Amino acid sequence: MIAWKFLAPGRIAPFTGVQWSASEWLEARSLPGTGIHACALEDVPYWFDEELWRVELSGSISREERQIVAGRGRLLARVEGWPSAAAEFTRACVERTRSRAVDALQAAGRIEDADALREERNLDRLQKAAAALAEDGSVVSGYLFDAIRRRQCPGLCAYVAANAAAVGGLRAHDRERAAQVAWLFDRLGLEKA
Amino acid sequence: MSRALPEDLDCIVAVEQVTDYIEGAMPLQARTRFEQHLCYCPACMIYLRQIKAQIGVSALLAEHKPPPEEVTRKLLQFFRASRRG
Amino acid sequence: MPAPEREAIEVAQDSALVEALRAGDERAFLDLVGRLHGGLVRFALGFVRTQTAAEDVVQDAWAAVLQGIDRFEGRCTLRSWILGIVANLARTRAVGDRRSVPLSALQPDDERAVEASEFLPDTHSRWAGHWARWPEPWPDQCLLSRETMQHVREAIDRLPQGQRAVIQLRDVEGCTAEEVCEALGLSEVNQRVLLHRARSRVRKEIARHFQGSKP
Repeated sequence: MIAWKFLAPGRIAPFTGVQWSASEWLEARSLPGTGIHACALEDVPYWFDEELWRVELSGSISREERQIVAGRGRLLARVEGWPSAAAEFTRACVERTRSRAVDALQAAGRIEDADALREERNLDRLQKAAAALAEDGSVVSGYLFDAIRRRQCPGLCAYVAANAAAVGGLRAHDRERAAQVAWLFDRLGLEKA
Repeated sequence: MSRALPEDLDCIVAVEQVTDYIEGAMPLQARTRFEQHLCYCPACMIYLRQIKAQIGVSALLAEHKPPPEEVTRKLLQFFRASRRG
Repeated sequence: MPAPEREAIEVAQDSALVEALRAGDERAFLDLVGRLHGGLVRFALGFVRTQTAAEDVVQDAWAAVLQGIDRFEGRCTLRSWILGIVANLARTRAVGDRRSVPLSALQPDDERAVEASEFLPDTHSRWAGHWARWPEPWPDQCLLSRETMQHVREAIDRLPQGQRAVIQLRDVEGCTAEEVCEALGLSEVNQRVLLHRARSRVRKEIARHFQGSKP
């Protein structure tokens, strides 16, 4: 089966430190609870690292929480658009979070604040404005501040955006994560496995 | 609310799991949640790296000095005596 | 290599060594002493006051090892058996020397790896329980400086007895968890708790050291 996997630079598995071969199969050690870990499409925004690879899995395969665990796997191809698309990805997270902050401010009757936030084109000024609104009690504006501040780190920025959405409930959270997946699917050409 | 999903770890909890994680003493689900946390928390990733670096440095403190001459001689006497009896 | 496999290899190598010792092979004995003695003395120092006392304890331990070698069953590694002998002798000696229990040994049961004050309080609207400030990454090479290594050494030596024993054996001597449990009579969980607390305290010391030496 086809899946996705993030690796640290040099094809290094981020948690085990194991280096993946460019094409050879990697076997999971035959101990319980270990295996080759990879992402289904919907898991991708949870596991960001420097290199994104399309991988093939085989052997015993099981769907676990947020990942697929397999007996063996091999790298097929590097996804060219990552990490160069990371800045655009986080920008999209910021923009969706901005919309949520604007909606929340409007819902709270703070129309001028909402308009100002919506209109601000400059990212630094937006960050400052969001910070001020956070001080003033707008939690979602606070998340907007965090998202802009942490836009260098896609994993964290995506998490912030998910948290911002979660203020509106679990379904809103799930919609944000789905939006992140959809963005990556479209932009990076990740086919549904 | 301070986290998106109830199963997300807070950092204050994650740092207490670091030893279990390095020891490989966590079941898959707990290990996944810990690794998840690292993926969105550079601060805890730094913390984990610090602990690992510290473990690496600790190993360099191992002493390889053999005992001084007179101790070796004494121990050799023990050895010979113990094998005689 | 995973720990259980390393241990299996060591136990296998042990049986050849034990046979040689029983047969009176002096070179095998001197080789063993050469390999272990320094570490045993350093380990004993965690229990007794002085270098001399530690040396005495380890010499007594070697005598006990030689007396007991015919009865050694090989259920654990030779090293862990020897460490256990050292620990018992050292503890007895420490009681005899009436070494006072340091205040730091009286620890609360819920010692935290990192002080709660390093994290945002429950009142924070977005990030309760997250780091208030990210820890500073330690500069790679700086850890290897003699000065820093000395700090780590001293931090380990200042730990409460139980924590010091575990971290000394695990992280400095490279013993497996099983060996340490065997040598110190600890359950796996207790061993891990002590290791966790020990590492956390040492980490705090290192962080403070780097903090203090910042320009």
